[in-house]
Parts: sequence; C-alpha cells; structure tokens
Amino acid sequence: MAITAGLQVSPTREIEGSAILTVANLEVVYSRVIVAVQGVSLKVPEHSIVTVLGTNGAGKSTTVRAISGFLPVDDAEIRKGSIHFRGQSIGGLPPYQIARFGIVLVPERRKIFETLTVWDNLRIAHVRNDKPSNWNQQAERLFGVFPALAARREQLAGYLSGGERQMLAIAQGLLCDPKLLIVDELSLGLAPNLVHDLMERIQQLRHEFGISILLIEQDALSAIEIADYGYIMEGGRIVFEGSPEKLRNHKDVQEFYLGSGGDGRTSYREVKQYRRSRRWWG
Amino acid sequence: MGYAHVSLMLVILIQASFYVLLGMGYVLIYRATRVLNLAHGDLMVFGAFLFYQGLVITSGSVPLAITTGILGAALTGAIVYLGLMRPLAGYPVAVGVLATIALAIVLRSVTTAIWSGQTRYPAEYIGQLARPIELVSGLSISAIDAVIVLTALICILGLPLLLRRSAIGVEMRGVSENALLAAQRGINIHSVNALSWAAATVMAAIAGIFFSLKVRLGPDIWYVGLAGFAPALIGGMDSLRGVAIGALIVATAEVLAARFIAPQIALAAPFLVLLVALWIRPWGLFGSREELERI
Amino acid sequence: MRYLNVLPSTLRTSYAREMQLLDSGFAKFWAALGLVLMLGLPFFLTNFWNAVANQIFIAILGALALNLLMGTTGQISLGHAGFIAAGAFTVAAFVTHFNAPMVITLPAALIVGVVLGILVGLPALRLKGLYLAVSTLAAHFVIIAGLAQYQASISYGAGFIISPPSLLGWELGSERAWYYFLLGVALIVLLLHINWLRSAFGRAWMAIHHRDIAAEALGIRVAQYKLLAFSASTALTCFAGALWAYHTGFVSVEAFDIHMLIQFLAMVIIGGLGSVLGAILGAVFVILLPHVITFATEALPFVNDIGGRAFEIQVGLFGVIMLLFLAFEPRGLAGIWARIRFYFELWPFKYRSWEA
Repeated sequence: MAITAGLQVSPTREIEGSAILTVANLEVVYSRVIVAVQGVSLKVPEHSIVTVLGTNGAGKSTTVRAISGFLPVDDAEIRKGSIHFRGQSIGGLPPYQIARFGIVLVPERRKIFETLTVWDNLRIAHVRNDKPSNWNQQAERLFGVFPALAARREQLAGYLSGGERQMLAIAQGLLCDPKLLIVDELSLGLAPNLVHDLMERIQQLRHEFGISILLIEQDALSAIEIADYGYIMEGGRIVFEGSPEKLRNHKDVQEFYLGSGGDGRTSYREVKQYRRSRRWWG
Repeated sequence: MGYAHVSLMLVILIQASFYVLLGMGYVLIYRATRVLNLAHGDLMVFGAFLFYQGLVITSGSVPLAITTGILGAALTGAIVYLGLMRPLAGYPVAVGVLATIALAIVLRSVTTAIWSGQTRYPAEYIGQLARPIELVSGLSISAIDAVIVLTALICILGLPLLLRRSAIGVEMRGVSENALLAAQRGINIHSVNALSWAAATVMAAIAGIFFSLKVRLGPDIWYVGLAGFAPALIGGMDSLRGVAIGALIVATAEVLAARFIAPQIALAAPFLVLLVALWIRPWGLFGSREELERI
Repeated sequence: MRYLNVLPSTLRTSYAREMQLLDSGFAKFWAALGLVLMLGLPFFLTNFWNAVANQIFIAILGALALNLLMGTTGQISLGHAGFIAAGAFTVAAFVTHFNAPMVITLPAALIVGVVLGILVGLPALRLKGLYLAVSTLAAHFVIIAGLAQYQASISYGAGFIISPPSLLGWELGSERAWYYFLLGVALIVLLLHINWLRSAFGRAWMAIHHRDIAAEALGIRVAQYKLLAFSASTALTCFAGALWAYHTGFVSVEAFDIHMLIQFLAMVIIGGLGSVLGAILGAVFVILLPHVITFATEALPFVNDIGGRAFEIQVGLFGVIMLLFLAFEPRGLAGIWARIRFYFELWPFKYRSWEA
C-alpha cells in the first residue's frame, strides 16, 4: 500500500466503523485467586490508533498479555469475558497462533534478540506463507523509515541504543505482517524528544502499512497527541474513555496524567487522598 | 617425531572426534532448553540399538540400518522434548537435570528389557570396516576411524555455519535467547526446540553407531556417552566451537592416561580434566559469561 | 504466596511454644506412641525384614544429608554415592591396615567427610546450578575411580570383608542389635538435624537457597555457610557410609555405582525437597519399593516371566515415579502429607488456596 492510499483513510476522531479488536467484559485472575483485571471492555477500530493509559499496576500489562496469549506463562487465566479479533474469538489461544492471526506485540522489556544481528532480528520475523520477494520489499521499506537501522545491519542488536532497540522491535513486529500492532510502553526509558519522534513515526507507519495500533502507555501526553481514542485504567478497571479532546479537557486527567491543571494542591499525600475519594464519571 | 608419536596423535584425534559428536549434542540441547541432558548417554545407546535392530532385520544392509537409527533417534528426541521437557519448562535448573537422570534410568531399563544386557558386535554384519587406508607411507587408518574423523570435521565446520546462516538456525538461536519474544513473532518455539532435541539425539545416535561398530554395543556403554558432557562443559556450554577444543583436551588426557598410567584412571580422566577446568574457568574456555555473542 | 500455606496447627502464640519441638499434648502423645511402636517393632519382624529396617535407618541418614544440601541450601549435589563410598572405604582401610575399632573409624569417617566436603564445596563458591551439579557428578566418578584403583592394589579387586563390630563391649552381631543401635543413632541425628535447621545456620542456608545475592546483602557470609553446608552434608553422608560398611559386612567399589546415586536422589525427590519428613518418607519408600515389586511379582502368577527382568523393572519404575513426582508433585510425599493434614485441620471448611 502506498503512502497516498494510506492517507485516504482519514483519521477518524470518533470511534466508529468496524472494530478490528473487541475486548468485552474481560476478567483475568492470577493463581486462581488474585483478580488483576475486571470488566474491561475496549475496541480498536480499523486503521486507528487507540491508547490505554494508566499507572503501574493498573492492569494494562495484564490486558495486553490476555490479548497476546501470554497468560498461562504467569499462571493466569481469563475467567470471564471474550476477546475477538476480526470476528474470531482468540481468547486462550497460544501466542504463536495469535501472532499468525495478525496481532503483533512489541513488549515492554526484552523486545529484541540481543545475540542476533540487526538483520537476523528482522529475518527471524517472517510470515510462513509469504513470498520472499514481498518480505525483502517490506524490509527495505522499513529501513527507509528507520535509516538508523540500515546503517547497523550487521551489528549485534545487543549493542544498539535504547531508541534503536525500540525501532528494531517495531520493525521486527511490522515484518510479521500485523493487522494490529500492540506497543507496550513505547516511552519507557527514552528521552522525551526521542519519544515524540517515535510517536510521529508510529503515525506514519499506520498510514504506510495500513494497520491499527494499540498503544499501552504511561506517558499520556505524547500518546494522546497521536491517538484517535483513549482509555484510562486504574485498579484493573477502565475508569474513563473518550476522544483525545475529551481526555485533554477532563480535569482529573489533566491532574494525574498530563501534569497540567491542578488548583494549587502541593502535597502528594493530599493527592493520594483525593484520588481515593473521588469518583470517576462523577 | 617418530611413528609411535604420530600414531598416538591419531588415536587422540579419533577419540576427540568421537567427543565432538557427543559434546555438540549436549550444547545443542543446552542452548535450546537450558537443560544439561544427563540422559544423553542412554539416548546414544538407544539410537545404536535401533541401528543394530535395523542391521538384524535387513540382514546387513548398512544404509537401511543407519536410516533406521537416525530416524528413530530423531523421533525419540522430539518425543522426549514434547512429552517430558516441555511440561517441565519454567522449573528450576535442578529439576531439569534430575528429570534427565530419571529419563536416563527409564531409557536404560527399556533398552535392557528389549535387547537384554548382552554385549554385541554389529561390526560382524559389515565387512571391510577394519580395512586400512594408507595416509602416507607407513601410516594408515582404518575405514571406520576415517569415517568418524570426517563426520566430526563436517559437524565442526557445518553446524556453526548452519546455525549462523540458515533460517532455521536463526530461529533456533532466537528461541534459545528469548523464547517469549520468538513466540510473539510467530515462531512455534516447541517445534523449534523439538528439532534441536531431535538433532542432538541424532548426533548421539551417530556417535553410538560409531562406537558400536568400532568397539562394542551393550546397555553399559552409556558411560561413554555421559563422558561427553566433559568436553561440552570445558568448551563452554553455549559454544559449538569450544566443544572441539574441549574434545581435544579431554581426548588427550584420556588417551595419555590409558597409555601411561592405568585404564581405571583413564575412565575418570574426562571428569578429572573437567574438575580442573571448572576450577580455572567456571564458564568454560569459550563460553561467554554474559552469554552475549553466542556463536 | 507461601504465607497462605501455613498449617493452622503451626501457628503459635508465644516464643516458648515456638521453641518446643512437640508443642501440644497431642503431638507428645503421638511421639511417645511412635517411639514405643518403634522399640517393639523388631519383635514382630523376621530377620529379613529386620535387616530391611536397618537399611532404611542408614538410608534415612544419607537422605537427610542430601536433603540438607539440596533441599535446604539449594546446592545440587550428584556426588553422594561417591561420598557414601568414601565413608565405607574409610572403614575398610582402617580395619584392614590398623584393625581399628568402631570408636575410631566412625569419627575418622566424619573427618574424611568434612575434608571431602570442603574440597567439593570450594568450587561451589564459584559455580552455580548446572555447573555445580556437573562438578559434583565429576567428583563422583573421580572418587569411584580412585577407590577402584585402591581396591585393586590392596585386595586385588576382591573387596574388603568387615567383621561385625562391637561398640563399648556391645557386640553388634544380630540384626536386632543393629536395629536398636541404628534407631538410637537415627534419633540423635534427627534431633540434631531438626535443631540445626531451626537455628541461625538453618535460616542462613534457607536464605542462600532462595537468593544467595540477597542473603549476602543481608549480612550472611555466603561462602562460609555454603562450605559449612557442604561439609556437614558430606560428613553425615560419610558417616552413613561407614555404618553401611559395618552393617553390610563387605565393601567393594561396584556397590557405589550410579544406581546408588539415583536411589538417593529418588529419596529426596520422591520424599520432597527441603523437608525432613520428606527425606524420611523418601528413604522408607525407596528401600521398600524393590521388595514390594518382588512381592507383587510373586503374588501375581501371570507376570512370572518378569522374574529375570525384575531389576530393570524396578530401576525403570524409580525413574517413572521420580518423573511423575517432578512433574506433578514437586513437594513430594511430604507435600501430599501436608495436604492431607491441611484438609483435616480445616475441615469442615473446604476451601483455602493451596499454592497454585
């Protein structure tokens, strides 16, 4: 798909059209006793960027693991709810099958093969029934998007910088021919200007490759900038959702996620108390 | 250097080739599943017996018998991984090692139950094995020894290349470094690991076939296969090239001990060398501490 | 989630009670009853089963020693058959060369054990996990080869005959005499063992087991405690080996092959790693299993043809049972026992999360 073709799909600012991924009323339980995520529902429409925001322990990563099929590794299971991808139920399938459906995850940590070269890192991510010529074309295109990688083709990935690792991880994910790319903590450990730059490339990739993107983020400021829709998670539930404008204008979102707004509160303890007592939707 | 020296070096070379075949099996399995496979010796015996069975059934057809041995070994390796090691993934290292010990004794009793503890000589089925090939004037090597050295050479040169260049090799290395990520990239890690186990078991079987043709075949030769972990550890468990050096060191110690000290000591020589080597360099000669730059 | 597993009966309200080994009238009653039963048992056993009971006592010592190292301190050792051999050969050497009595040979075996433990333990300061396991296995083969060499040079490979010993005038001539001697030894060792595990030593070892780096950060001298664990374990193992030599009356290197190692591993795995009760149950189980198999093959007429292959079947069965325990009940027989107790102590309440 050429760039122009991608641009025809104008970024819709309202959630509409057919959803590529639907999570309905998801409940995940660890070790059969600890409920990590409860009643989570979210949708990712085609060709859109959706972001899920939240602090540590909000249940973001658990949700991602449920979608990508990695729950059994941590002795967790989906107790209620469903996950559908393009009309097909994928809850409980093994990870490699989910990957072959077209859901590709760029994980938070250990996202590249450090002992392989950059080129081998890309080579490892091939789709079984794809033609090699097609794959080569894709790889060259990605080197166009991330020229830094092209220069380090034969180097071991373990020697890449944090930003380059993130680029390599995204490139690797894209070579799996995803319909939906899930990026877990793109901003983790990266300088703010680098994050901004990466976010812009993500937007570019969405158009170029015609994919949907689910961004799991703590850095709300930069994620809201490129997203079409956002969810906020706290304590294993989705507590707020809406368009970027709606999120940006909500007082509590400003206070806790965007670091702006606030009316003179200074003490962290006060904030904590406030957080405990206030209700969303109120 | 007299004739005696050269022929002694040839003996060392042959023994080292044998250890190369065994040691690489240990390394392959370790890299794939982080398990030290103490059942390797018994897998070797099992493969050799399959070969022997093939010889008996086909009344002496070597190609068919070798095919039987190799296919059977590959199947056994894959079954061991899928049936036993996969369910134990994620347990502590100790559990994996203990499981392979348990597997070893199960395999040994199965082998003894099927073929009895009797010693056999498959070489009887094949003529011309001891036929000498003259290398230079006055120095010759028997046909079977030549085949052993050649096979080991092919493995030393071919296997690292295969892992470095081929698509499946890259997948194997990826899975061994980060299985979770490999699964996320659409690689069926279990079939890749099963392949590693199958390949290692085939190498063990080949070593077993050579040993049974050169010396003898019986359930008690597992000891020879077990000794193969010494060169693997001396070389560093994550390095295929290290195995070759480790094999040379162990073979030298063993052959010299057998020639100049006592056969009892020669049996323990690989382990003695291993203890010394581990004391000097705990992570092996070529193993990397950080495990960065594996092959 | 370890805290969820505490048995209700192990919760205590005062330090004095925490220090008691038998803290309730109930426990005291059962302990006393058990002791009486153990004292009376030989009168109901034939000479053969008496000998089996004695083997079990010696196996318990060995299993406790191995459990101290593998279960408590988390250091894999595959060399314990070699250490048993070292203990047995210490006795053989002292008896052959000096005609030494038991009061000398047993302490000598302990000293040999301590020295061996330090020798094998020293690499353990640098090696972990897999490499440690391998170095102890290598040590096993080296020890056995050395002893075989010794045996060949002294007795032309025939082995050593050791006549029944006497201890302070008490001749250990019959299996029944051995029973009471070994029962006493086992009880003393058990008491020492349990108290060591409850002391600062035991806690340090457990800390090393869980994470040695964290233990070091908490001020535990990891190197020292690892060496201590190794030498304590090998000393006890050599001691068991010495008793084994006296009880069997014959020492030859063939007895200490890889099957003995597997038996000891089977004891601690089937019993349950890290549990004293498990080590005891495992020893009983492993020693009795061959007899049960023999009994079964004799009782069932249609499996008569197994007769010649009984050894293979027995060994294979060990392997299968070990694998089943590793895969399905890593806490071993002790885990099963705890679960049963847990069920009855909670009754009539059914649910309480059990380590998932």
